[in-house]
Amino acid sequence: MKWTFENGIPIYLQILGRLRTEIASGAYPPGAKLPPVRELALEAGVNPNTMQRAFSELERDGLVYTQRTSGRFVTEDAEVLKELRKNLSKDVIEEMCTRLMRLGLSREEIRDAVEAWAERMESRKE
Amino acid sequence: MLTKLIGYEMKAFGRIILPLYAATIGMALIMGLSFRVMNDDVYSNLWGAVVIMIFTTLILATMVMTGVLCVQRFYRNLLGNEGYLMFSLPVGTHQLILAKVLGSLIWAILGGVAGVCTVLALGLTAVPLSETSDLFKRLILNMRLMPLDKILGTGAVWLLIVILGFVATLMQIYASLAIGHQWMEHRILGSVLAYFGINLVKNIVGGLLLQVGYHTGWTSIFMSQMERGDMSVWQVQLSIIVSSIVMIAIYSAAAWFLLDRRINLE
Amino acid sequence: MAVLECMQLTKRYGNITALDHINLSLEPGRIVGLVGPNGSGKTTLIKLAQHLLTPTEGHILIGGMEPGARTKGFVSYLPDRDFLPAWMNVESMLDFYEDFYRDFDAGRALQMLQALDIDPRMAFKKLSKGNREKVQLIMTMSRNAGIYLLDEPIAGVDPAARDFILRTIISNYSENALVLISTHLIADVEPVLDEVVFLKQGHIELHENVDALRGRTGMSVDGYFREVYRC
Repeated sequence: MKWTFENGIPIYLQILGRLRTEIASGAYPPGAKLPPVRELALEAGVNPNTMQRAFSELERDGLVYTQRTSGRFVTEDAEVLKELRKNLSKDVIEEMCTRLMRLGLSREEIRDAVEAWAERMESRKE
Repeated sequence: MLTKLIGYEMKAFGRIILPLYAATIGMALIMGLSFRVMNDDVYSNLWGAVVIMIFTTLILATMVMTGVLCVQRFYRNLLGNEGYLMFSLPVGTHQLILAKVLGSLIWAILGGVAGVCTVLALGLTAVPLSETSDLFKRLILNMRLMPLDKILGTGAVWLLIVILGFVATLMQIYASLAIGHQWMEHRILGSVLAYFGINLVKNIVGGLLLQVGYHTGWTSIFMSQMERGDMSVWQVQLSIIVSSIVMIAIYSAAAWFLLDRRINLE
Repeated sequence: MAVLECMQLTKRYGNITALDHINLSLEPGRIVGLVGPNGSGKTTLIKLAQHLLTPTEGHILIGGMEPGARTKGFVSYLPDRDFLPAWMNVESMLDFYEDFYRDFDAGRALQMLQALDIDPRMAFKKLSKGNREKVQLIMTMSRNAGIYLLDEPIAGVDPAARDFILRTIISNYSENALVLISTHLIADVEPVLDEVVFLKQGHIELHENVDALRGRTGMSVDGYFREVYRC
């Protein structure tokens, strides 16, 4: 997927956000090896130092660990990943609810709508 | 590094000059053979005229081209856009200038060698081999009778004078180009004016020196010698050599200063 | 330690002051954008760093030395001019670089040139302008230099060529090198920069980390300069 950046937000933060999402969604599954910094920087068209900074941040959060010789890997710690998903979903839910409330929906109506959506998805699967 | 730089002068000249050498020597062979088999009829005369014309044109073209390249290699390769490449090399400015001078000198000498080869090619084909060997035998005999070491010595001194004269002229042109380059526009006009300006200064300074010498008396020895007509050859040679070296030193210093400290590539 | 340092660096051409007492210190391992409108002194600064000009006042030091033959051995410079001799070709140019630059990696250059599908025996005068520019960039980036000075590498090229150029820079520069890219097109290079130095009328208006600037102002560097300096 092509990398695009928004104005006014530090680029490393945008890279960080995208990598977090990719780890949470399983695009980089637990235990998977991440590409080298330079390669990913090249793909994104950004400075390798900026990519390095995002990686360091991921490492600090425990989402990624480094094996000295063989590279960087996504954590296999289920707890950490669960926490990540929870954190990321917080923002999504907040944004969605804010918009729905602006449309005039009440808390109950939002809950009902989400449940109705979930049921519809369920029935589609069958 | 200097040898590598000169190596590139060899390539840059060679790709244009070497084909001209080959064509000239080839034409000398054709001309020599033609003279040997030619009869005195209209067609032969016409053919002979054409061959001579092509031959002289080739010789002229080789000489002119050598001269043009000596100047152009400096002007285009150092002061043009290629200067961005050359002045970025990890070599000193003096090496860049020296490579142009030595490269040009080598090609001037090679031109002389090619000239000798052309004469030989012409002679060996135009004259039957038996006559040529006779000629050589007589030549060698004559040479034994001559004071060879003295001839070679005098030859070497005159050769040195010719080489120094060539280098001095070339450096005067290079210095003029460097001066012309100081202007943002009309750089070639500036260079031409600079060349004549240098000549003017040279003449004025020369005249002044003679005047000073005349009044202080230190030229009187030469003057009286000249009047008596017994100024020896070596004194003339020495004064030419010394003045050439002084001129070369001044031009080189000027060219180096302008290229190293006042360069402004477009 | 700084690898490029300017102290009260000043350059005048007659009455025109191109650089006015600038002080600047650049560290290795960074990609720095030298930005500003045309005529702000970018090319003058780069030429001073490469001894293609001499300062009127002040000093510029490259790796602690005055620019000269020694510094040129570890500075790889891409001018904003076509410097390829018309009669030479890729093959002879590779020899030339290998002869003069100890840090030149001919194998890497050849690989990139082959990917471009340029005939190595074709005289430069027969190559297109775009291909000549790419050859120059590849030669410049195939040196394992300590400093890369790139003067307007993306001026006047289409987006595909711009991507090629930026990728070639990122994928080839040595990790501990300083890369100085001059440009008046800030938006195009912004994602690859660590720092930005903004020149205006011979003065340094700003020297800051790019991400810090974006975080501080809430704008892109390009947007910030448009707003603050109207350029």
